[in-house]
Amino acid sequence: MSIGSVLNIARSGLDASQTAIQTVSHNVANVNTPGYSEQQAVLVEAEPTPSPVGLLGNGVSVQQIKSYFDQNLQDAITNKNSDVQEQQVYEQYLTQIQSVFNEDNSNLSTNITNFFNDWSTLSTDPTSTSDKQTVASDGETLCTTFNTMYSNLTSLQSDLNGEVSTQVSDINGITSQIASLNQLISQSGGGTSQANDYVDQRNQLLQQLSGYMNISYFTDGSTNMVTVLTSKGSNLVDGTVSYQLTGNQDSSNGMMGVSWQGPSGETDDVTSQITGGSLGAVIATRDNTIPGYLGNLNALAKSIMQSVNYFHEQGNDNAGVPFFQTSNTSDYAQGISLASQIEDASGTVQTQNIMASSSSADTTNNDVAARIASLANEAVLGDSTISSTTFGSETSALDLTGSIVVNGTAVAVASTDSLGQIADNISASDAGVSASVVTVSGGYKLVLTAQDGAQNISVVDGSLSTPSTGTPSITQTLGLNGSTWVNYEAGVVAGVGQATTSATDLATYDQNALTSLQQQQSQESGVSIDEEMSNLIMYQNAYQASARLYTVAQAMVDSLLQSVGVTTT
Amino acid sequence: MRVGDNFMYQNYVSTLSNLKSQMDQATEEVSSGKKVVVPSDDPSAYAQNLEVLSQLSQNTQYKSNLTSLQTLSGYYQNSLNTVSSVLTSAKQLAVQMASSTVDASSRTAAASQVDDMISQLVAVGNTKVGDTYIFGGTKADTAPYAADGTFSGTSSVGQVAVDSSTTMAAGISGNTVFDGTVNGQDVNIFTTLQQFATDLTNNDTSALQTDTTNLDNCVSLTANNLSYVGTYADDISSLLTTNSNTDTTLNQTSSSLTGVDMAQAVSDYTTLSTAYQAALYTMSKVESLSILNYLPYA
Repeated sequence: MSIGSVLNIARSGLDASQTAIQTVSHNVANVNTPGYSEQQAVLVEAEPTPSPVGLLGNGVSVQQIKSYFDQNLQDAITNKNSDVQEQQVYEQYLTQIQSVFNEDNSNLSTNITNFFNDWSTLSTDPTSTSDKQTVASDGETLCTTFNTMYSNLTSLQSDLNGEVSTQVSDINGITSQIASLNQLISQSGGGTSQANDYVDQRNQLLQQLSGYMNISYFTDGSTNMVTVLTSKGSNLVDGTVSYQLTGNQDSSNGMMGVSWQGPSGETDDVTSQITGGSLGAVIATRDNTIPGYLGNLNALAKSIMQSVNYFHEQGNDNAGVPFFQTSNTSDYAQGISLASQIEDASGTVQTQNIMASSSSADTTNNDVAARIASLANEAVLGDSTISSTTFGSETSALDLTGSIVVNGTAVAVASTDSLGQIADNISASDAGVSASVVTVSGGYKLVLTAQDGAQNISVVDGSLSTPSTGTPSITQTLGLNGSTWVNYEAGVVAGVGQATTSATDLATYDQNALTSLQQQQSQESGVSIDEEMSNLIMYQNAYQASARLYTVAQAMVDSLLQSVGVTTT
Repeated sequence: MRVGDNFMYQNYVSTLSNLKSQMDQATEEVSSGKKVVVPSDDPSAYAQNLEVLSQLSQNTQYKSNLTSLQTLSGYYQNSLNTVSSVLTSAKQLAVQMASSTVDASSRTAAASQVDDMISQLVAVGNTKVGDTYIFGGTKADTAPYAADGTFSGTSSVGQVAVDSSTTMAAGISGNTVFDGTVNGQDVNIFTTLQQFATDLTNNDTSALQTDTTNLDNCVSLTANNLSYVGTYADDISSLLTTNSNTDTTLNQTSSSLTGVDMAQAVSDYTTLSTAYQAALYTMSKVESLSILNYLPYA
């Protein structure tokens, strides 16, 4: 035992307290740093010195700077963040899609009803030029409604498309930062205060990255470097190297895909691997949600156009012109407009071409106008359409003559045709519909299914004659399982509303779940000013006490030197 | 339990913003009087309301169709009343002229009176409302009756929708008014009057007896048609009543689907606003608590 060792012990105390105070200061300074985990200096007794009286203590040393941090909790937060960001994108874009379909904005249902009401008005005064003008002008409004809704949806789609490139570049920024941090962590060997901060930063970046897409990652035990993969296994960060993603545009439709660039320059289209997170939601909304709603609009526009045209062309002894036309036979909602024979290039309405009568002689007949008006109440759209009336036989002649109009294609029905024959004729026509006869209790029914799986079958009665034998007429039996146009549109709007509600609910739910995890994390890793201040006082007192040891040792040395006749100054 | 300071502030912010957004929703409900403003508020109610509104609009259209039929039925009633009174005079004339005391010159004079009656009835047959000859059937843009009573219109009339599943004839054709069957006999008013005039000119007393009977049939035919037009007008009135009831029902349905329960909405708003104030109060109290207030500045 020596006075020197007292000084050493005092120094170790000062060092330890200083380190601890530095750690506390670091905590206080980072109280609001995202992802920061509270750190503490872990103090241990210094190695004791053997002596005849036993082991003598040698003061204190700082073993390590410990970061209060739960990796499992952090992983749970990282994963949950994917869901939160995904649902927030869905919520954001579905709300915008919803506003396209909101009747207050679109007036689609109102405009459909108005248009067919106009035909009803025309039917009360079939020669009225002003009524015909109204039919044409409301017909044009209806077309414009379809065009506008279509372009609003496609413009959302192109917004989303632009998002892809932006988010891909964000992701690249994050992965390259993770790779740099991997290097720093590996160089600092882990366990030091510096490495704690790097690990915190890296966790924060992983959390951000998972907000863009689902990822999986694992940490190497020896180097403490993290490897990051897409959910399907493409490598994004491997040690100190990050692999970039690039946007690759599909030249046919302008849609941006995502490619992965490998170590030797090879590329791989990983668009389908990107699930979850905001990028996953952006791609899914762009490629599935919006095309689905565009399909609904197209189906509606196509059905209205074909059904109205079919009857309008029956006007003037079947010399009637079409009422609507489309400049795009796959996107009816985009292409629909008044036919050029109804409104010429200069925008003048040719009222003489608007047909209220089927007969050129009976000019004031209203049959065409009344028939078109009644379409509004007919079930003309549906996934599959089934006859509601049961027929007694599949094979005996039904004695029906005339035609059935399926998707705008008239299928002739002869008096000798049986139900089975009618089904065969419909299937063989180019209506794009498979017809079959199914057995039900008490007889047979006709079922129509779209061949391409598209939700679009319009069936209208092509003026079948009443059968003389009293067999149930096909006239009233087709299409009853479908829906009217307004009914169909209301269904689509309800679907949009439902999707928006569930995205909003899920966004709230996921956010709450994330908050709850963050609360747990805050209990584990968060900086509490109360605690830091208490610790500060504790270490400050310890520092002052250690400093006092110097004074004591000094006094001891002074008195020793005095007793041996040395004066100190 | 340790509470991180940063998390605590974040928590305040999210609690306040949640309450604020709920209050915003409640304010919108109270001020708009609607609880379903966008589809996601209640997708199924919104969709049902769309259909109800479409039915309402159609119902208004049916009402307008019915009103125009009602106007038309007034013209038919007037016209048929004229036909009836002309025929009644014709019949009186026939009874008078069939008497053996009437001489040939009186009958010749009466014949010209009958010719006037024919012209009068042709004028009725060519009644024009707007651009439409109302007795022309489905060929109503040209006068359906020639001066000799020849009919060039059609006997069929157009059908007009008056509710989603019912259509009504748009009036009655001249062919039904001036030509029909009574007691199993074909009756044509113009032919009968023309024969009557001829018989008067020819001073054919026995034929005049037959003319009297035929004119009787004409009067009956017109009475039948008047009764038809009366029923037609009644049907229209009753459909208009139904239409107005449907309108009320649909409006009520729409309002119950999307309207707000004002008492409930206001009470919700008050609850939320209390919660918001409480949160602000708590926050201000907790924020003022800090260990730093109790530490001496060293």
